[in-house]
Amino acid sequence: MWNADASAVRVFLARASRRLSVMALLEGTAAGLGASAILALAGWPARESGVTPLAFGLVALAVGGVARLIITRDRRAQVALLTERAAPECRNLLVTADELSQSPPPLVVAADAADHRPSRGYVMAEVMRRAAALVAQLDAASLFPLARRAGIGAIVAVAWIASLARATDGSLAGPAASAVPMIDAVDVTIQPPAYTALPARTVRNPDRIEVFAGSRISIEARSNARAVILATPDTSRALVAGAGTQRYTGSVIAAEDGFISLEPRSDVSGARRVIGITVLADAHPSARIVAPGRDLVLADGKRAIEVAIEATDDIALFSLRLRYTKVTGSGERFTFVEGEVPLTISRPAARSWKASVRWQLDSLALEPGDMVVYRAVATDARPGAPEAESDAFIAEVASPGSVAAAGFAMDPDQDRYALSQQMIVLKAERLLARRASVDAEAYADSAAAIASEQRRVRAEFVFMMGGEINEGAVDEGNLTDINEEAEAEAESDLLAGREANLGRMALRRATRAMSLAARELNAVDVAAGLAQARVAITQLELAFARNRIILRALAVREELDPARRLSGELSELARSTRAVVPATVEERVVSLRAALADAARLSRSEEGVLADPSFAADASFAAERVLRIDPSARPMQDAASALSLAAAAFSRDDQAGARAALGLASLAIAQELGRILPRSRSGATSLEHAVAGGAIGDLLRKPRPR
Amino acid sequence: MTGAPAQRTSTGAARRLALRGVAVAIALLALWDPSIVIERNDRALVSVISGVTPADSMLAGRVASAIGRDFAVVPLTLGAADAVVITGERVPAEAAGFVGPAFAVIRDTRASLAIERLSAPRSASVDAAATVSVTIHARGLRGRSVVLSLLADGVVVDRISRTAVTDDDRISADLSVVFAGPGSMQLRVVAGVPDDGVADAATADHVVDVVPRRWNVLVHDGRPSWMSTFVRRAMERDARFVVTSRTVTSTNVATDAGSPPPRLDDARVRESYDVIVVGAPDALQLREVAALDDFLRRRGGAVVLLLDARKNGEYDRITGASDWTLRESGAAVQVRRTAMSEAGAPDTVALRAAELAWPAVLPSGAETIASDSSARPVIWSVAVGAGHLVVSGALDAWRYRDRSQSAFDEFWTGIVAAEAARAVPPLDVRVTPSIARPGERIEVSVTLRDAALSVAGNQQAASSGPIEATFDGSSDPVRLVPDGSVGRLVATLRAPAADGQYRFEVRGIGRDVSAPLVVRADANRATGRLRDALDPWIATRRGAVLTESELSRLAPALRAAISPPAHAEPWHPMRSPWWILPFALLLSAEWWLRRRRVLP
Repeated sequence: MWNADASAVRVFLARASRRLSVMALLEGTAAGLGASAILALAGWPARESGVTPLAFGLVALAVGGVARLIITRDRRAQVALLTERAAPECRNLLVTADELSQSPPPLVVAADAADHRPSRGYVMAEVMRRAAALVAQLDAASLFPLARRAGIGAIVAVAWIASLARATDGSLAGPAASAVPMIDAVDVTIQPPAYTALPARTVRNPDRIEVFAGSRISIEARSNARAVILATPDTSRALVAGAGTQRYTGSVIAAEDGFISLEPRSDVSGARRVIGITVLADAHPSARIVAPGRDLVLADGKRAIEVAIEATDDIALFSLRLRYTKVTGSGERFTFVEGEVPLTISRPAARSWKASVRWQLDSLALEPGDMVVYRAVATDARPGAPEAESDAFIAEVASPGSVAAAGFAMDPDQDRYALSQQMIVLKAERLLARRASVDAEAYADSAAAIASEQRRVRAEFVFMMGGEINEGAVDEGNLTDINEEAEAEAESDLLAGREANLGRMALRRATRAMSLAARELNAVDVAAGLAQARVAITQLELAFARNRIILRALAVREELDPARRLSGELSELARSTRAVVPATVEERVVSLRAALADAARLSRSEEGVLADPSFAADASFAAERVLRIDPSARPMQDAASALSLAAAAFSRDDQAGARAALGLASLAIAQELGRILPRSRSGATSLEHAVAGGAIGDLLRKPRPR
Repeated sequence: MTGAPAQRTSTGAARRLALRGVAVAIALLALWDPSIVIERNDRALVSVISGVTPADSMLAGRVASAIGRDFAVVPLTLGAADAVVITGERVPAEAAGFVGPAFAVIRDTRASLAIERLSAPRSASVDAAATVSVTIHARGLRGRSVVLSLLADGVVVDRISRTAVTDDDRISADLSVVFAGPGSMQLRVVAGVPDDGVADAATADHVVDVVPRRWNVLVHDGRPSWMSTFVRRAMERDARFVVTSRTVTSTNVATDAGSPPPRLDDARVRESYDVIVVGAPDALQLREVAALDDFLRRRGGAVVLLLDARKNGEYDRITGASDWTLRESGAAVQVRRTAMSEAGAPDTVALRAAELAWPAVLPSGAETIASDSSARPVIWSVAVGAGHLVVSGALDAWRYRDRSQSAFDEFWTGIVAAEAARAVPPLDVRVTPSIARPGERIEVSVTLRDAALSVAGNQQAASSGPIEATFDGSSDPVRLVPDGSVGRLVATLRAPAADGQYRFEVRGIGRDVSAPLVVRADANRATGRLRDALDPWIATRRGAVLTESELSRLAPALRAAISPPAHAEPWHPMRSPWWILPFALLLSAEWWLRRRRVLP
């Protein structure tokens, strides 16, 4: 019986406890909603906070309910007592039974015969029995009615919804209404050019975006304004408003560095959002032949070449080919045949490809002396993008005494550097020094080799001067004298001015000395050849001295123009006067100063005092102005980003944050301005110092006798 | 049995009598009031003077407590004080004249920052960036970064970081400030350590009067000269200058830009121009050289002589240089400014020239502006009267004027701008200090250039007309009085009680000029090298500099330094109130004995 009675009491109390919890929940949520309704009518949360009144109300509802449950936790634990208060007829029986029910059940229920008092167990059982009988007659619903609280809750909820509708202008789930037009959020979707095959990405409220050239930038701005104006450095237009929503959309194509400015407009303009745009140029792909990676001289035309190619691109490669040009023939009769070699391409990544081929040259039917020039060609998918070529390499079928053809790379095993005249002198000096240690035949061969090199050097100079050096005016026997006969023959040239400078004459003498040097060297008279080579150097130095003007060529005969001669009457002399036009300050400097002044003005908002509502708009306007100065300049980008942050901070009335951001902006602007402006290091001195300095100097200096 | 009580009775009576007698003796002595002459040392009087900072004031309190038991401490300087103890590193002005023993107690050396020097122009052009040079004394900060921020009207315009190398390091740095527009601008340098709590930030303030001023420059070529032509063109492109020029191309024939005066000795030259740039100075005639000398001495202006060939001429009279050396070579060499910035950083603006001329010995007092790699003085300046003469021996620097080869334009516009800034204006007003705390003493000085530089200065000053000075638009004039120097007037007044920006306006000789005064309650100025002044001041007063942790040594040191005179004085022992106590005790004991014997 004890257990059954106790169970009945516990069930009743649990039911009553649940109703008490529901009552507390109803009270808490009603309080939360009520507070939310009052705050919504007072304009809180504000639109710029980013929290909608609906979300805030729901949070308040949850917080109120939970808080009420926590607050009433101890009270609800005394459910028996609360029941007794609601039902006075219980006369403390339920409380007693509740306490007894938390004790162990009685083991003995018989009366104590010795003292004629009922035993403890008996009393507990009797109490529990009566309590069970009592709770059977009680109705928890009537003891703890919910209807009144539910009614109040409903009224509060209706009031909250009404306040919500008023605060949001009927858009219950939307942000709070505001008389000031503002942009709540900006979603920027960047769609890279199709050829990049890159996915579109969306960012919310960015200060700066980096996009590939040609990307489409779609903007969706949420604003309470009647219109949102999109401005770029070049254009300004209104975004398209969505039907029945406060969403405005538009798009621009990114062509170069710049910015997007979004300005909300109703009767007045609101704070702008400025988004800097950095346009990334699509880099050209690069291709490299890694094997063999050098020019080859092949013994015959039936060889195979193992070619390995690597190519990379910043986005993705599109194609990779190996092109060759077969060159056959000799002298002035060359035949060129273009072709491609199939490649085996591995694509470990879209940005990096590798290709290889074992190129069998049989099919090209190369003859001795023929060559094939090959290079790798890579492209990316950008329309109209030029092909990127690797360095070209030569594979040449050797022929006796062959040299790589002009216009192509020389065989790396051969001397690819042109000799200088100074080197001729040096080689001749060394050969003279070794004369005692080498036999006559080797000595003669070496002299002949130097003579050959001397001729090559002379040929270089002749070609460099246009191949028209006439040695006729130089007497072979005496380089310092002029052959008057030849001079007379060239009189027309002299009159035309072509022989009017000594530099040309010196060059002519130098080449003549080179000829003589080669002749002496061929005759194995190294000493005489060395002397002539030195003369050539002297004449070259003379020809290329800084005060010489060589290669003066006049297309027409020089004539004096009397009209251009300075002549006239002395009395007609007049002073030439021009007006002084003061230099103007660069436009960039003016703009930077204005931006710095803006930052300084905005920074003067006092700590703890509400900022001027226009500060946010002014800061965003300053950000746009800074970007207009030079959207590509890093300092301007940094300054604009900082000013945008300051605008956002002003919107939140976060003056400390705004001041910090303005500090960064002003620093960037000032440093850019300081980079442009000349730097002054000194200021005015006092007259006393100037006079004292001069007096001391006068005393120290002795008068200069004249 | 009867003998014993009788004996006790007599003993008790004797005791009572003795007690009564002693009490009566005390009373009689009190009536007599005997006097004794003793030798006594005076208590030394020590003045404890606090420094300017709150920490110094707190330290002064601790010092007074530490020595107050042994000395009479007064918190101000008294001429009669036996010694002075100052707290902090700055010698207070009121103590500077004290000649007795002096001691200083400074705070224990810990991490600290102090701005010892702040150098900036008091007036700057809006079209140039001004340089603010500072020296920071960093103590206990070895290896730490010290961040220097320059704020202009509360806006950060420059920020640099330096690392302290030693625990007692002095860091010099140049900061740059640009101006958004004309007007007085408050500059504040803040030195701090990024780690919070390591050291308190130090600040120093300065005021710059930013003016949209353009300097008037006259370029005079006695004959056409490429050198001066390209220098002139560089100045014509610079918004800081208004350039008027005359190039004499032949006898009685010249090419003018603007309206230059017909002759260099024209009176308008002195009034109209700040700097005269002379091309081909060897073509100058004697009277033109005399006019330049007059411009230097009576105008206090600057003359720049741009030599393009080294020839003897009349201009040698004002250069004072002789034994010129000429170097001509095919290869151009670099001519770099030798003037280091105040922070010690090398100046990177350089010229190139292949033909150089320099004097074997510079005139006395001359300074080298730029030299080649062998330190030859290619470009130099010398003070002539109140003016400055600059002589350039970079004869063909114009050939290498391309930006890829040299900084020709920046070099010469910088030189001319610096010289123009030094040129003394006709009417100059200075406020010292230009930033002050409320109530601080301010000195205003007004200088009339022409009067000060004239030969008969007094007469000129008297004939210069009235000089009126007002403060910030007030109708009450500021009373200016001559300070003994010709052409110089001064006034002393107190800074206003309210923070703000004020201006002193001065009207006279047909000109209106003004100078800013900024009043800030938290204004700070550079401290200077305090220990450099403190240590010798203490040493010459037979004292010592002690740290706060050595405060226990101060009293012995003071006693050793002070020998207070001893003097004889009468002593009246019975005037001490303490005699009441034994007198009362004696009478009480006598009364108690009588009560014990049941006597009346």
